[in-house]
Amino acid sequence: MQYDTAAADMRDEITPKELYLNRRQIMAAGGTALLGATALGQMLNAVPAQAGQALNFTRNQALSTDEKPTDLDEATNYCNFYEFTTDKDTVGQRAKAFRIEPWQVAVSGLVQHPATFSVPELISAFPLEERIYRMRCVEGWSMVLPWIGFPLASLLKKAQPTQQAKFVEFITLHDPAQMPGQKRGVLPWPYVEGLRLDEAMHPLTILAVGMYGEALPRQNGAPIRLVVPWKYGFKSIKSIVTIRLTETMPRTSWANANAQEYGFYANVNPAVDHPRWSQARERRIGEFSKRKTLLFNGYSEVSSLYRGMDLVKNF
Amino acid sequence: VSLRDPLKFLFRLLAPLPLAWMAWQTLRAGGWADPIAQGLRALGLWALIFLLLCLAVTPVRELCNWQVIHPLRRLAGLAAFGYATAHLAVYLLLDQGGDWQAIGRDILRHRRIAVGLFTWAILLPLALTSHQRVKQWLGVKRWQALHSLTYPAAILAVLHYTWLVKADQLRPLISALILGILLGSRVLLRLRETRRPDPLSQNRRSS
Repeated sequence: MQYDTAAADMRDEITPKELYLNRRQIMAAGGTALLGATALGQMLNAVPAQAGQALNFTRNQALSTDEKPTDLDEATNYCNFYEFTTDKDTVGQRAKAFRIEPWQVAVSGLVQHPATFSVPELISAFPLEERIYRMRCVEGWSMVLPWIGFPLASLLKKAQPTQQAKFVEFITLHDPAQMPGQKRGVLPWPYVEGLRLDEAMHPLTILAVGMYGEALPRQNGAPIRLVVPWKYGFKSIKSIVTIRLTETMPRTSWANANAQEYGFYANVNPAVDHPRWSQARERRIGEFSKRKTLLFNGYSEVSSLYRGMDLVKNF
Repeated sequence: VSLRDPLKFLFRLLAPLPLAWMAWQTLRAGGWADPIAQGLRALGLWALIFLLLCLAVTPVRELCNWQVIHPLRRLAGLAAFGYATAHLAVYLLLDQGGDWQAIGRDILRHRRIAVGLFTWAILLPLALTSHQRVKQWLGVKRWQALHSLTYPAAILAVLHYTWLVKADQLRPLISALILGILLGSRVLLRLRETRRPDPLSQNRRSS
């Protein structure tokens, strides 16, 4: 296996699993036990999320929110990954057989040291940190997710961007045989995302290889994905195979598909509506009432990146 | 023995099943993660499905000469109205939490919301006048004129669906295709009627 499987005793600091236990799961467990229908209950339960591989990491408290993480089974059974399906609740089913090993990530383009890495190579090259981040989807829902990863800046520093490099382009695996969603032209494939170089170098920007103490589930972007917590979720590209430094702004998939509705920046901003719905509020998964959406998803420390920029025009 | 009553009974039995499934998804472990958003969508989808079923009754009845299914038209229409009303109520009270300012802004800024609300407003008088006695009181001509509003309502409902979806237009397109076939079949039936007037079918229509 690509991750160190040498079991749980290697874990430094892990949030106890009980914290993520779904209240409904507990309710229903009681219910089904009463009915003596445990087998049925298990059959109806969603896909088990974890490959079970433990990761060795330390919590970065300073860059973590103290908000309560979303229930694990909701985080793994409610996500957008159009490469598999456009239905958020069946991604896990469809991604079950997705091969995440061997996996190579190429760092290329305007860098002094282009190179290709396997995921275990990246994991051993950079110390892993747990970062508990808010995640705001462009559709108006949000979660709190305990990611495990390392700063993208660490990898970029190793590759040394040249003077011309202004942007970073990310590309997801293109493999329609494994990713049936790519057989349909819902989006231009492969999925492409991008960041300005200063956004990519920001300490909040990480490459994640795990969440909830273990390796990433397939539906959440295994084996390696981007996490940019102050931008709408679709910027945090999943299952990355290429990281390319460029001089010109990358043409991202969503902006290509619909430039009126999705911009390059996609910073979380309650004052800029999606053309078809309001972005002023969001529903935190697991909560009943909507809460107010915060500018930059509450990560005000990134505002200096956009000083003097018209955030309405550059949405 | 007429098949009508068992058919009506069966429809009444089946029509609430999607609602029961939604309740189950909301309560069960590993069910919907966002019951308000997912329930809102499911209610809207089933309102559209029942609206299309309602529009399918007459063409199917004419093509297959199955007079027995005629009463299902009213029941399907009422089911469509029921699901549409639940859809609207979930939007107003749960999704928007009864925040009337936010709802007002949403209607003014987003044509999808305005069109959805308008579609429900069309369905309301149709549901209120669906009973046989109201039909007699109104007169068949006027009643039919009023109830032909079902077509614009279905067209607007499909538009409302299309405007919701971010990228994957497969399901809105399928519903548009079905609606197109139903509208086309109506035009063909009308043409067939005017070409060879059939006193029997005239009688039936005004019954």
